[in-house]
Amino acid sequence: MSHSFDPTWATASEIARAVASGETTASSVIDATLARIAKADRTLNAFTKVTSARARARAQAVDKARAAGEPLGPLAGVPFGVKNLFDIAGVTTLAGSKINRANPAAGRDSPLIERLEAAGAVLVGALNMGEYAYDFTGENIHDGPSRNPHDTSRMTGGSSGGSGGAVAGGLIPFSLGSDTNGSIRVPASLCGLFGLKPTYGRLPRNGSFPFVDSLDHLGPLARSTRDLALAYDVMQGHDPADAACVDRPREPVSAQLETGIDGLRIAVAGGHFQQGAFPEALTALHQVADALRARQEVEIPQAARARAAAYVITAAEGATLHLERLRRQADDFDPAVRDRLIAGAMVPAAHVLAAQKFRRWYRAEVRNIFESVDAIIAPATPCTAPKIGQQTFVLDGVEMPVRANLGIYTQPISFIGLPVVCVPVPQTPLPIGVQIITRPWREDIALRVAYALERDRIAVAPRPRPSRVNPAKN
Amino acid sequence: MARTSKSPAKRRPAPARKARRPARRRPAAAKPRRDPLDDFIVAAARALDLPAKRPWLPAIKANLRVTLQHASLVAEFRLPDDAEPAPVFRA
Repeated sequence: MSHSFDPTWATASEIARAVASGETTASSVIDATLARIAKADRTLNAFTKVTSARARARAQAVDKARAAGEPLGPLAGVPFGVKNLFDIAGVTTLAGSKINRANPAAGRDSPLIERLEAAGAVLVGALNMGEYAYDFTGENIHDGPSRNPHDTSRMTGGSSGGSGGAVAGGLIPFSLGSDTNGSIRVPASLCGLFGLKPTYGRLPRNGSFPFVDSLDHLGPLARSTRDLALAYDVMQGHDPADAACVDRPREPVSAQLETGIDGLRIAVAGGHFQQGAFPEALTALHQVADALRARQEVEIPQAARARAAAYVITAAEGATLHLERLRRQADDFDPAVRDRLIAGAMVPAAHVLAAQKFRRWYRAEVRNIFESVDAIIAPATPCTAPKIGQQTFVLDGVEMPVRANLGIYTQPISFIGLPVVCVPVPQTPLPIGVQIITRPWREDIALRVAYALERDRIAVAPRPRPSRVNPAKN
Repeated sequence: MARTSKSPAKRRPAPARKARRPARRRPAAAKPRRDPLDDFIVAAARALDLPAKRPWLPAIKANLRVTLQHASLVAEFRLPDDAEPAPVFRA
């Protein structure tokens, strides 16, 4: 049997096909993946834990199943990693923090890991992230910053920074992240990846460390739309352990990707979503709009206010989650996170309730828009990846902190739980993402649009130049 | 030993004070006004038992100010009295 198959830049579906056909084995794929991680992660700093022994054992089980003629899952032998806020049996769930290192190891895997591995996927480790997910940069004071494979002096975006860097750097074909205000879509945009933030309540979040219950979502990042769909399909399903997870039938989308987009009414978001955008963000938006023949512009009402309300809820709920830790171990937080959380603890309840009331109003207004359109496109980030350590940038002539403002276009969308696919538009020197937003529970439409853009080479996850990924770590 | 004190009767009378010219009214020096947000942060930290150390205060204040600005933007938007918050508990 020849094992010349190189999984480095292969998609998940290509790897699964090669394993199923016998072109390669799951063990070969995992050995190559672990070797790749050992080499490239010295630069990218995407992994905080590599679960080598577990991965090899799991790969052998896949190979054994194939040898026995047992049916293989759609992700047979496909390596993946998870943001280190997902529970991994036998590993302490860090959530990017120093404080959680004192916690006992998780007793079992998160349900999403269980579902992916039931489909044949192989977990290879936990990924770097911003502390307690309160971050858009991908920087971490305890573990060091995730580095963008397209330019390692630049941010991956966050808070799912390692999830972005590992996939964009060719270490794994897909990863899982979390998205409260944009933490899947921001790294997808800055790293040049496809990212899916499903409808709020679609995927169960139990077995992951929370941030803001009202806004938390989980989802995949990948280098192709098909891989997003493959992972998403096997992760669906109700779990009563997550109070927000909605009991509705699974709605697989992989088989619908090639349906095309004829007849879909696609509009461009105006107003807030084009204010402050750097030229590269608007260029990408217009490229996507032209390719989709999206001539109509829609104004999402009060989007800036929606972003403000998401900001307030995040500050208060995030602070509530960490109140005891702030009292007992304030010095062990990243100071930038600590100071935001302490401030959040002081937000009067009246403001939080007003934000939640506004949320319901805004949801109804945006639903009305979807009576006349099927998808809305908007920039994912105002700019390409800033430099690591960059504190501010200028939006609309005003100098603003990077950490809090990379998500100005993502926050008004996740605020009401709409499904979004972020697609990468390759530009020189750096890629940038565009959001495809649909009504609740219509991930299928967003993924069909993404697939059409990918087929037409408008949306492409670009490979970084090799010299960017492999230099020795400084 | 008991403390002793001079009898008031033995005190020398206070010298008569010269009549002073009324002070010329000068404009009050610009006294830096204390930002009520500083007081709020110190009081809230104490009430909530949060360790807001002095060097942390500027960053806490900056963050709180931004959050309250966002909150004001939301509060300016008038909603009917019967508007309900988004999360709904299902029994």
